[in-house]
Amino acid sequence: MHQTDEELVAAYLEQHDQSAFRILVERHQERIFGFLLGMVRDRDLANDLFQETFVRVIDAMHKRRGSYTQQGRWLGWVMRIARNAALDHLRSRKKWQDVSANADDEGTSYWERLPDDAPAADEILHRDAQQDWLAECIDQLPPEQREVVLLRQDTELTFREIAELTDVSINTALGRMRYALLNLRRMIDESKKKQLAEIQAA
Amino acid sequence: MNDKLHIIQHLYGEADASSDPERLLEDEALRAEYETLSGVKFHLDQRSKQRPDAVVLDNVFAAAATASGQPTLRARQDRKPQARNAVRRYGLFGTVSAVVALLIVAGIGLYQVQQEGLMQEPVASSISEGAEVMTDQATPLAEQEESKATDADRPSPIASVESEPSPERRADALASAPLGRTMAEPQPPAPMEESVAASGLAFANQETDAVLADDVEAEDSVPAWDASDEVLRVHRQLEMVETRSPEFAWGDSTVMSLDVLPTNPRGRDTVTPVSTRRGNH
Repeated sequence: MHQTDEELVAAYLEQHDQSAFRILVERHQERIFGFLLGMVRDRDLANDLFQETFVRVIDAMHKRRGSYTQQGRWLGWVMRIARNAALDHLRSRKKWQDVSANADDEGTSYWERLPDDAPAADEILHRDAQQDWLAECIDQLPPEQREVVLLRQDTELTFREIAELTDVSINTALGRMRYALLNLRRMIDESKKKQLAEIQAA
Repeated sequence: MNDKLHIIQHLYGEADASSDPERLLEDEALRAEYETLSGVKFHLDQRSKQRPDAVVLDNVFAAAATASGQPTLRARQDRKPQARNAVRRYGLFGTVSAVVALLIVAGIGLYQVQQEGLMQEPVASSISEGAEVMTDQATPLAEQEESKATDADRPSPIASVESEPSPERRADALASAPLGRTMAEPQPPAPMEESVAASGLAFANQETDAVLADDVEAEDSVPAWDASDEVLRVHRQLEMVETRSPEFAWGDSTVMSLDVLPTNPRGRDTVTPVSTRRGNH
């Protein structure tokens, strides 16, 4: 029998059912950890942020800190805490680059503003794992576009939930997603051109 | 919302019912963009899922259990089982030792009680048996004496003892009385049967077996050697010496030296000082 997130949360809080909380974590661990790993690009750091996120979640669920009303979607509430934890870390390391949303609205993609010394596509193609190459492509996206891609692809939040989470309109979330996909398309095309050029040169 | 954003919603399956996908696909530019974005999405969907480390999950579960006030499985695994078993084993050993010690003490006490019972049982049985025998022996004697007194029309033996006895009877009584009871005129004690027969006159009316048993026990306490004639002869000699020399009677606290004693070098019955013995020899 499949139990919803809200039912599992109620079982944990009201009946102290540890297995209910375990099911919750195991059900959403890939979504939450995938988002954190995509944000920081460091597995150890992502583990630390994952644990920190759930420490905050547990405290908030027991109403020690924050508020959880059990009326909304539990995963969206947890992802807000995870996002804040990731942003706090990125801000502390000064790796967070603030890119204005107006630039995306005006159609200026981050790909067009990438520096010339970016890693070449052929270097990426020589790597064994295709996924690592794609992850690095995502990592090169503007933070807002990368965040939307991660929240939509890994966390599987809807665009409306992403808009609520990031405190933007749904059109802005959809626009960031559109530009992110176009930039990734260009990266793939550039890598293919580099690969074809190497074959012809050989 | 423009049509390009609707393409994104259609691409991720979030388009509402009001939007018309066929109308969007009729536009050549929108159709080309849709195909381009769907290709990128295909690559993104091929990415593998990442999971946190197991240690991190254990820490999260432990934190959740602690927050809800429940003991964690991790804490149970860290506990040392030896301490609990050692305490239980020590308690069992102490209990068994206490029970064994109690049983030993109870056994020793029961053994002592049984030994005391075995030691007292022969004495009590001998006393009761003796009392029965003496009762059987004394009762016919008393009956015989009563029958004699009845035949001779004389008073009872007790009345004759309490009244002024005649000289003949007094001599007979003195002759038949034990030594300890007649120190004035010592007589050798009669044999046990005779003494019992004689005392039976005095105790004829005492019909209880307990009194007879005590009396027999008192008669048995007289040593056998005390009934010999030699002892009586020595006793008479001591009395005679005592009457001749009243100044040396027993109980005189004055200690006299040998020089004070009468000395007679010719006689043998007197005390001879040590200083003069060598000269005599």
